[in-house]
Amino acid sequence: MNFLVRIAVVAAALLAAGTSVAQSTASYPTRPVRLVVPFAPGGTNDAIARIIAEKLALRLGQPVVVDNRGGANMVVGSEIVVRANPDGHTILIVGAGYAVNPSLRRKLPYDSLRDFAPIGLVASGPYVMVVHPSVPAKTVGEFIAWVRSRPGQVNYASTGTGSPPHLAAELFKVAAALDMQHIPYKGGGAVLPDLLGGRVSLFFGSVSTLKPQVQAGKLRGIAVTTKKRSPAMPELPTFIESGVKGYEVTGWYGLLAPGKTPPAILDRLNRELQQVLNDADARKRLARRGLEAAPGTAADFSALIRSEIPKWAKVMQAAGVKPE
Amino acid sequence: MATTLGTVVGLVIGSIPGLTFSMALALMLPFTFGMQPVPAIAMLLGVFVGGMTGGSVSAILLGIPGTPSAAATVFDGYPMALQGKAGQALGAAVMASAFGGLFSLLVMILLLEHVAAVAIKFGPAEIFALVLFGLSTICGLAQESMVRGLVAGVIGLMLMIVGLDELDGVARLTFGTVQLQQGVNLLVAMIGLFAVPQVISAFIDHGRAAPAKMPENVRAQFPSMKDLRDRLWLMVRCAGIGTGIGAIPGTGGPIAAFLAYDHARRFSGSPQNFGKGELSGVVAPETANNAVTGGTMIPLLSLGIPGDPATAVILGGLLIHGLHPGPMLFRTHLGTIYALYIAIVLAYVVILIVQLWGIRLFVRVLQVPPHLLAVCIIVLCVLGSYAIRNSVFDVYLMGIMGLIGYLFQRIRIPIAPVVLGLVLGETLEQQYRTALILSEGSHSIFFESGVALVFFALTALTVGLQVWSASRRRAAVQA
Repeated sequence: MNFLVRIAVVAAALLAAGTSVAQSTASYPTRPVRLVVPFAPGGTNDAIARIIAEKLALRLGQPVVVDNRGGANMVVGSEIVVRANPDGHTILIVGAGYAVNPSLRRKLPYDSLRDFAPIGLVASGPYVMVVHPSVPAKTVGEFIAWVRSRPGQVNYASTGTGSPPHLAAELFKVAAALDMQHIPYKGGGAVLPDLLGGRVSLFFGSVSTLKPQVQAGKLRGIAVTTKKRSPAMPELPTFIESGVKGYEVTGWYGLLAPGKTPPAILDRLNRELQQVLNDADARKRLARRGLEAAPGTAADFSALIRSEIPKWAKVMQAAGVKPE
Repeated sequence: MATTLGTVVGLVIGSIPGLTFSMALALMLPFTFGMQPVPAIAMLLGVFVGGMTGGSVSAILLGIPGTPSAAATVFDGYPMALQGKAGQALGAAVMASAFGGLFSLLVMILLLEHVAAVAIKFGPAEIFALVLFGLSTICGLAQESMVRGLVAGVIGLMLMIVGLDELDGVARLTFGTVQLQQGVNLLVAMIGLFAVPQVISAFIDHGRAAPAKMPENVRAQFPSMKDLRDRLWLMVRCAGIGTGIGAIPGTGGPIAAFLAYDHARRFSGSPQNFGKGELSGVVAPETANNAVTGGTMIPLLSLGIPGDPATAVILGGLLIHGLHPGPMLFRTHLGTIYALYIAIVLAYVVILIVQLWGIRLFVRVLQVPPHLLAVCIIVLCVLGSYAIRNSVFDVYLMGIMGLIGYLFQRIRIPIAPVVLGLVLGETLEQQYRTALILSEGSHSIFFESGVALVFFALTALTVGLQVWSASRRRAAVQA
């Protein structure tokens, strides 16, 4: 017991020393870095976070601990990071939905631009447009013609109102002037039974969920939503190739820090992130999920967020979704 | 080796209230990155089945379900423990779990394609009907007064409503707080409702009355082979219930366990014994919830559909190792699949050995004086409710739930229907609404499906029978 007490005292002393040293940015990081994942374990965001955490820890010389704080569409986890000490020891990984939240909710407990400092983009990938095999269309053009012949009768699934799959489909509706019925589900796993059972016709989802189904012939892949074809499913054309002008949706994941984090620490984190994203093993593991590592500067990432927020606000307005 | 490790981890985590096997799976996942695919997945499967079985340990010994799937085990398992029959209950739970798990594995191996084809036919309307049938078992859990049971059930359903609505993102009953947007977590509520009232009672009783009589000789008494043989047919039926429900995506362990419990009670010769320490009341839910493990593997392996959070993590594990579940998997990796089947069998062997040996240790928990045990339980409760979502708010919520639970105990409102409402409410609401969105608001969708009609009929029959027997009982009392 005595021994344990002594260890505890030493640990406490070290911890106290650590926090005071943390004032100087040169020695960053002085203790384990907490990477907040604003989702429950098991999803894509979580998987990416764990790949990054493992590689980043080797470069920072301190453990990077993944901390799952799911709930309220990333708001819970984001709020925790906003309130954390802006010393680089607490960072956040967000997905494309981060840029949707400002137009989905009237009252966010933070300002999506001012209260966060971007570290850098981590990875990006397409959403895949799939239909149930009973749908006669094999291309985007045929699908548009098919939906126009039966306005309001075709339905599409999403992983929830305001989720990227919902917005990808809404943007498609706007771009091609289509009338379709939205069926929201709770997450990607819940969509599949009804999609495979033919109760919903159309879905925009991730490569990792849909590629096996398309390969097995249970679903038909129509197109990918990115500007360029996806290396994971190169046989699928893009929407732009298919004649839908300006249609582009990219699923992305990036790292953020609290808004007042010192620039020197943000630079260091971005530098190490670039190294991680050039690591062959990390790239391979991301590719397995149909994602591409997306190295770039913090400014690039900031510009992406700034362009995404108004883009989705417009789509949400067109879709008639009102902020809650 | 990997299976053994995984199974033991699963057993331990599963038996700690608040630490669920879904969480254990997520934690173990990164460790499997560097392993070969077969041991990696085998370890995850071990955690899954181990966790499902481990949940019964704290359900029986402490009256706190280690996982939501073990909630139904509390009703008879805990009374048995209080009667000094903990060894018997634990032994039966392990045997039943292994039986249920292996039964479902057999079904999975033999009938995979067929079951998957049927399961995919369950749309929102059909699942809604099934869950409604599950809810009708409230009548059976109500014990003394049906009105009190219904009140409790409705309270459970209302608690479930709190939070961000999953489909439209509307905040409900959150009083403007971000924390409540996450809703009342099922596990947090369960820990509070089951554990805290016990703790409060333990402290109140401690000062006042003489300490409750200790079961002096809590020897690990195993259930006799006869006990199990007598219930073999019940176990087969419950394993069937578990496998079937597990195979339907979006349902899962708790629903199967409650349905099996109610099934056992209704078809038992002595339903009045249920809730007071009836062995069948332990055997039935434990068989069913472990049968769910094999059941959920059916849509996972054959269609790539994870039916619940636990299988979603296993799906993640499969993907990381380049195994894409779905029909293609059986063509490309047949050997791997057979290796996984063997791993599941192995996991159950480990479970039997570890648990049957461990029971001797577990039952000693009951020799600890209640007020000391209560302190340990509080620590576990706080730890567990924090760990679920790493949220201090959940700890407060657990406390509030506990006070509500204690209040209910005093005014004799049963807890079981509250939990049932919480467990089933979310699925019930979601499937109902999705069905209506699919049909563009027309309720006819529920009556166009034969499967749904069968379940509606069963529901009506259950409710009708209960009301009839209750009114007859009242007439008998008045006469």
